[in-house]
This record gives sequence, structure tokens and C-alpha cells, in this order.
Amino acid sequence: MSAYDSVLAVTKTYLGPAAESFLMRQCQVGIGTEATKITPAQFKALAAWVEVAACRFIERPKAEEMSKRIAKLT
Amino acid sequence: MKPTIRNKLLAGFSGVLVLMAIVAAIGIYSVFSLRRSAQDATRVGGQLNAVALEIQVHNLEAQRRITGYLADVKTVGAKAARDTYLDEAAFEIHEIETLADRAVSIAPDEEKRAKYQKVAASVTSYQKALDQVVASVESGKPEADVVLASAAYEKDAGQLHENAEDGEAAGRDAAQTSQEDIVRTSQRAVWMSVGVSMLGLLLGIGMSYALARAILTPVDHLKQVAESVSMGDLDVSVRRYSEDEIGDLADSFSRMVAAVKYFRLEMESMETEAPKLVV
Repeated sequence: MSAYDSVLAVTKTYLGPAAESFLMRQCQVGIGTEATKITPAQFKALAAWVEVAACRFIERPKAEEMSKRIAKLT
Repeated sequence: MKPTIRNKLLAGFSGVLVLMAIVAAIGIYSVFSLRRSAQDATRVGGQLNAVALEIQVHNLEAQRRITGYLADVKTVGAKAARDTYLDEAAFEIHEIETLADRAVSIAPDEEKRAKYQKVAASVTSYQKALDQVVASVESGKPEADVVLASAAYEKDAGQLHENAEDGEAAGRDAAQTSQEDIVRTSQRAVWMSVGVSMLGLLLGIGMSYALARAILTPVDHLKQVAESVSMGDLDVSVRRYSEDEIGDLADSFSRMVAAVKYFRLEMESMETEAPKLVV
């Protein structure tokens, strides 16, 4: 399982069909890379972006939980 | 074990089955208990009563023989009178002793046992009094001595008769006590069955209420959320009430709402960015 697949798996449990699009946008805007080329070293930075961005459409505790799970993947 | 609806239902049905098994066990226990009490009534009360009656019969027979002996001893001679009456009387007295011992061994409590022990004791003094009468008659003692010995014998015979009557009453009492035991046991069984059934009923109502609440509350919440989303209100909070299938359904619904919100936001941002691209 690639780094992208593992992040996508976590994100999907919170965002469902929007996970892929959400991740692509966060990787591009937040850490300046393509989502499929993300590395484990970038997970923490991505997690921080994910928490801020996800708060707009899911509840804060869930956004924090998703962020923590992504950060833990490293 | 995960508290799924299936597991909750299984636990509920198992609880009901266990309660039914308890009620059935109480029923079986009651039947056996009643049967045992009835057997006791027949065995102890009936037997004691029968033994007491037999003692009375043997006592009367012994007295009849001895009266016959005293009447005939002077006319037919000591040996002939002994052969005709005393051997039979000895047999009757031996029977009374055996029956009294048997009654002592089966008596259900100390009070009744004491009554039959008195019967056994009075047989011994009866035997002694009889020996004295026979001795005074056969040794040719004066008439006054014979009358005295006969009176002592009559007194002991009467005592034996009274004690045997007491034994008979004790037998009746034992039968009555056993009957009361049966009534008491059956009443206890009825109350126990009613109590456990009521407990089962209350538990059943409680379990049904808890189960209905566990299912209906989250379903009602999901219905309200679905209605809000269908009317365009995406700012709803989907709560996960339980760790069962409905909880999983709430999670799926939450993901769906999040995705819809995300795509709507994305679309809005695309709409605001599009004019800029055109410009």
C-alpha cells in the first residue's frame, strides 16, 4: 500500500466520495505536491492542513481525529 | 462482543429463555416437593397411625388372653392355662414391643418419638406386672395377694392402652402435619412461580423498552437529519448513538453529508473563480 493509498483510506472514513478530491486539493495547496506522490515525511504537514480545511464541512472533533490519524501514519 | 442489534436481541431472548427455564425449574421442584410431602404423609403419618392401631389390637388381645388365663387357671390347672392363654399373650406382647420400636424409629420428631418410647416402656412394666400375677396365682399365694397383683396388672394394662392411644393421636398428628406441609409447599411454589413470573414480566418490559429505545432513538435522529439534508440544510450534526449497525449507518450518513458539503463548497469556489479566468 502506497503512502497516498494509506492517507486516502483514512480520509475516506470521514469524507467518503469527497476524500480523493479533498486530498488532491490539500496536497496541491498545502504542501505543493501531487497527492499520488506524497511521502510519509509529508504526512504531518498534510495533517495540519487537513485539520484546518476539514473544519469547514465536518465537525471540529472529527476533523481533529482525522488529522491525528493521518499524522500517526508516519 | 460488539453490542450490535443482533447481539442485543440474542441477549434479550437468552434472558427470556433463562427466566422461562427458572420458572420451569421451580415448577418441577414444586411437583417433586409436593410428591415427596405426599409420600411422607402416607409413609410416616399413615404408618404411625397404623402401628398405633395394631398396638391397640394386640393389647386388647393380650388382655383378653390374660383374663381368660386368670378365669381358667384354677379349673384347668396352671400348665393347661399357660398353654392355652399365656403363650398367645406372650406373642401379643412381643408384637407390641416390636411395633413400638418400629414407631420410635420412624417417628418424624422428638415429641412423637417420646410418645412411642412411652409405649415401649409401658410394655416392659406390663410384662413385669403380668409375671407377678402369674407367679402369685401359680405359687398359691393368698387371694388378697392375687387381687393386689391383678390390680397392679390392670393398672399397667390401662397405662399401656392410654399410651397406645397417645401414639395413635401422634400418628394422626403426623399425618395432619404432612398435609399442612403439602399445603405450605404448594403455596410457596405458587408464590415463587408468581414472583419469578412477575420478575420476568418486569424484566421483559424493561428489556423491550430498552431495546426499542436503543433502536428508535438513533433511527429517529437519522430520519430528522435526512429530512434536513433533503431540504438543503447541510449544517446538521450526525450523532453516533451506539456501537451497533445503526451507529455504522450514522457514520455512513455522516460521510455522505460531509461529501455533499465538500462538493457544494468546491462548486461555489469554482463559480467564484470562473469569472476571474474569463477576465
